Amino acid sequence: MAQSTKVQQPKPHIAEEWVGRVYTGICIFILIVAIFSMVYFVASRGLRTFIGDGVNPLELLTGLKWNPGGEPALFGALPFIFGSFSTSILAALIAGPLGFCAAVFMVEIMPGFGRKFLQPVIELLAGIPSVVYGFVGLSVIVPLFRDIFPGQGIGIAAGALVLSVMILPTITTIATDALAALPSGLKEGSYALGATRWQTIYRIVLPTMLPALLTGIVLGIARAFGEALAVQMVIGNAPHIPRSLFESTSTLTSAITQSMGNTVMGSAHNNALWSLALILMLMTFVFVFIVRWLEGRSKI
Amino acid sequence: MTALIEIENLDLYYGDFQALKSISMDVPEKAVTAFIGPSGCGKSTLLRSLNRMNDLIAGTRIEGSIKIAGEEINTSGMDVEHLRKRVGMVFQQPNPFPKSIYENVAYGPRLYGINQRKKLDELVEKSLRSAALWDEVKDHLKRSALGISGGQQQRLCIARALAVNPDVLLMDESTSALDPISTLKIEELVQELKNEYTIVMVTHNMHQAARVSNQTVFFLNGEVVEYADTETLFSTPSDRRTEDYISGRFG
Repeated sequence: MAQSTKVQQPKPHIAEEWVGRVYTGICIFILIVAIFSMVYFVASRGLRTFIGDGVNPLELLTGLKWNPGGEPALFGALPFIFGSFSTSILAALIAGPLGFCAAVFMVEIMPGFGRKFLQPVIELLAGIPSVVYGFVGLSVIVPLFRDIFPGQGIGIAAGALVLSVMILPTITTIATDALAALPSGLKEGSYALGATRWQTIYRIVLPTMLPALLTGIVLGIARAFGEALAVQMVIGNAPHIPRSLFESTSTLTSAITQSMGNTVMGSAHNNALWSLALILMLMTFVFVFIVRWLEGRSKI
Repeated sequence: MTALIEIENLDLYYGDFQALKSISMDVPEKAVTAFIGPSGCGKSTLLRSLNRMNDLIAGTRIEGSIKIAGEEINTSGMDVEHLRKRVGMVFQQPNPFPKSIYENVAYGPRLYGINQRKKLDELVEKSLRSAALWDEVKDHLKRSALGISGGQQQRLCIARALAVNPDVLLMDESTSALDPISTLKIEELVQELKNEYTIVMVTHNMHQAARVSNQTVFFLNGEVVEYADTETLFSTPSDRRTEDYISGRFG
C-alpha cells in the first residue's frame, strides 16, 4: 500500500520538463513554418516571371530596360541591382572606417566619455525611423549636393550617405565589442616593444579584429541592401544606370515600393516585382553566409 | 660590477594607494637580479616602472629617480618608445601576436623601419637562436605563433624582445604559467642571456630565484627589506622578515 502511493506521487520536475519541451517545441515549429512559408511564397511568386510569363532569368539579371507594363514588356532589372549594390557598398565604405574609428575612440582613447556618452548616442541612431532619415536626406543632403555638384542632388551619393548613417550603429557596436574583447596582453606586448599607440592600433589591433569588423560591415551592407523608404526618398527612382553619383536611379527595394501598389496581383508586372523581391531575399542569404564564414575565421 | 640601473627614493601611487615606498637600489649590469616577495608587495610594479609600462595604468603617480645608463627616465620629455626598445619585457602569460612566428620576431625591427628582407631574415634567425627556439621552429616560420606550445610561445616572446637589441630584459613571472620542463628551458636560457643582457626578473618561486639569479631583492608591503647576493640572502639573511619568508613561515 505504502509502496503504491509512493509510485503514484506526482513528479513536478518531470511535468515541468515536459511543459518546457512542448512550449519551446511549439515556438520553434511556428518559427520554422513562418520562415519556410515566407521563402516559399516569395519564391513561388518570383519564379512565375520565368515559368508563367516566359521571361529569361538572364534577361532579368542583365537587361538594361525596365518596363514590365509596356508594349513590348521589358524586364531588365540590372539598373536596380546596380543601384542596390552601389549604394550599400558605398555606404559601407563610408561607415566602415567611421565605425572603426569610433570604436577605437570609445575603447582605447577615451573609455569613460566614449562608453558613457558616445556609445548610447550612436546606438540611438539605430532607433530613428527610416522615414526620418529619408526626410533629413531629402531636405538637407539633396539640396546640398544640388548646390555643390552638377545634377539634381538626388542619386547614389545621397542614398549612400543616408544609408551610411543608418548602418553606422551596427558597425560601431560590433567593432566596439570586438575591440573590448581583445586580450590586453596583446597591446601590452606591442607597447613593450616600443610601439606607439597608433602603431599598435594599425599593426596589431586592426588586423586582429578585422574579421569582426568585416562581419559588422557585411551586416551593415545587408541592412542597407534591404532598406527601402529612406533610399527611395533621395535616389530619384529613374529606372536606368546613372552616369554619375548625382543622377536619378533606383534600387531593388525602391523599385518594389514605387510600383507595388499600382500593379494587379498576378499580372506580369506584379510577378516581375516579386522576382526583384526574390533577388533581395537570395542576396540576404548570401550576406548571412558571408557573416557565418567570417565569424568562423575570427575564432583563429 | 657596474650599476646599469640606479633607483633613488622612488615612490609610486595608484590613486591614493602607495605601492612603492622610497625604493633605492642599484641593478648591476650583465647579471640576473631577482625580485621576490609575497603578492602585492610591489615587485611587479617596480619592474614595470623600469620601462614605464605603468604609464598605461590611469591614476599612477611616480616620484623619485630612475637612471638607466646614467639617463633619468622619469621625465616628461623622455622618449618612452625609445626607452622600451632599450628595456625589453616578457610577461607572465605568453602573449604572441596572432601572426606568424617570423612576423612576431620581425615586429619590433619593423617598427624601427627595418624592412629589407635579408636584414629581417638575419635578425629573426639570430633572435630565435638566442632564445633557443630556432631548431624547433626553423622549418615552419610561416605558421601561426598561436599554434606552438606555451613554453615555445614564451621563448618566442623572449626572441621578440631580443630582436630590437635591448640592454635590459625584464621578466615578469615569465615562467609561472609554464610546466616544469618549459620553466627549466627558460631558466637555462636566462643563464645564457645574462652574458649579454642585464636581466631583472620577478618571481614567485624562491627556488627559481636561488637557482638563477646573482642578486636577490626581497620586497614587503612596497618596501625593500633586504638586497644581497643571492647566496648570502638565502643562506644568512640579515633581516628577520626575510628569514621568515624564505623559510616558508609566511607568503
